[in-house]
Amino acid sequence: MNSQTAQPPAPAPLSLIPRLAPGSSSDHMTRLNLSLALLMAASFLVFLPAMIIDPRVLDSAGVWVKPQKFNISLALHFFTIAVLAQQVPREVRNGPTLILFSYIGGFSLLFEYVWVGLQAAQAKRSHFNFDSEFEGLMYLGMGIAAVGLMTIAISLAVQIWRKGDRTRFGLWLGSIVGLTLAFFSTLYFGFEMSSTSRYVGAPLEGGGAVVPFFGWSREYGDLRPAHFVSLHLMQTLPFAGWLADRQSWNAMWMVGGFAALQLALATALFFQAKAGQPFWPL
Amino acid sequence: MIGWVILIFAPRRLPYNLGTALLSIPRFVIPFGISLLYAGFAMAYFFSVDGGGFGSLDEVATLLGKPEMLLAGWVHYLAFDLFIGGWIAVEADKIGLNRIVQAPILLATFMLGPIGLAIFLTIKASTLRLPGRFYVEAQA
Repeated sequence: MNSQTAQPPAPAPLSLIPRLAPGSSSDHMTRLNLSLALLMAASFLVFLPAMIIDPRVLDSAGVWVKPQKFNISLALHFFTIAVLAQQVPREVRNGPTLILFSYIGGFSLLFEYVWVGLQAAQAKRSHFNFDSEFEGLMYLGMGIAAVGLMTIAISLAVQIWRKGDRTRFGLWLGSIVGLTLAFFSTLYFGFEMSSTSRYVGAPLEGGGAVVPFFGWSREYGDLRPAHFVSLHLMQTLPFAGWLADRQSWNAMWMVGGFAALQLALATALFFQAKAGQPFWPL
Repeated sequence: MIGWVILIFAPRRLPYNLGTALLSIPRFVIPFGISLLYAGFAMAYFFSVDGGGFGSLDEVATLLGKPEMLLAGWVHYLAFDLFIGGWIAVEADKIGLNRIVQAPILLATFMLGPIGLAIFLTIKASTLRLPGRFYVEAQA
């Protein structure tokens, strides 16, 4: 950094839009999470031509569909973390806890990214793959890394709870509740999914008619919609709280209401899938 | 190989500008050396292949049918990929891209050149300064 471009001290303390830029005053934790989000977003774009050209199919979806779902959802995940982290003071973002958990998330992400991509390129499964001892071990690794990806969410929830800006009460509450609920419910649904199969009643090879891109079955029970709905608590609840702040609505009711609704929806989807029913029948 | 190991793993900030010196090995020294090797093979063998050229896919296939030209082609990849990798490393540091994110991009550049470049160009494009009101808000 040369002195010519030295920035004046950051004016407003609470911008929710973090930036990755030359001379940016952002901190290590924000930069790391933004870097990860950008890597995923860029990969989504770069993987598109292969998705169009490659005719190979694995378990009734194009081989690149799974990496693309990873790319887009993890871009959103790490971007959300970077945005929500702006509520805690800079010292906390530069502190050991958030940096440590960001690196756990980062290394988990790289591990998943490389393996999912590598297996897709060979039209092999990255998950539910027991063809060789190594692939079985890697599937176990995928599960551990998935937990690693989520630990940053719960550690950020704790930091916001302890040190976050409470003057924006709705955002504060929504962030804590959203990150926490998403962490526990998604872990539970993910665990259920990995110990059985994504489908209830259908073989892994395919669940018949599906929802476009998402690939959720419309003929059999599918555990992924519940996973999807619960995971996105970490976006919807902070947004509900932020909206409540902005509109001077009661944040407790907004966040609590949305949390109850969305969690109920996820639970209903989960039990419906467990019963072997599709959530959107043909 | 050594060049890529330096790019991916070596520290960039060392006392006495050693980081810059170390980085100049993959950025300039090795690509220059490999380029000389390419020059030797290409200039010696290019016109020795009947029907070889760059005019069509068939001509290129014929040209690369000769092992010496195939080797030259491979060396060409190595030189250019490493040089691009060096550029990516420097630009990525400028925009504050974390090293653990640089690693897979550099690895992709090493193995599958253009994929790494395309990913990095996309990331770099996203950090360009946005004009107008949005930029002011983002700064605030």
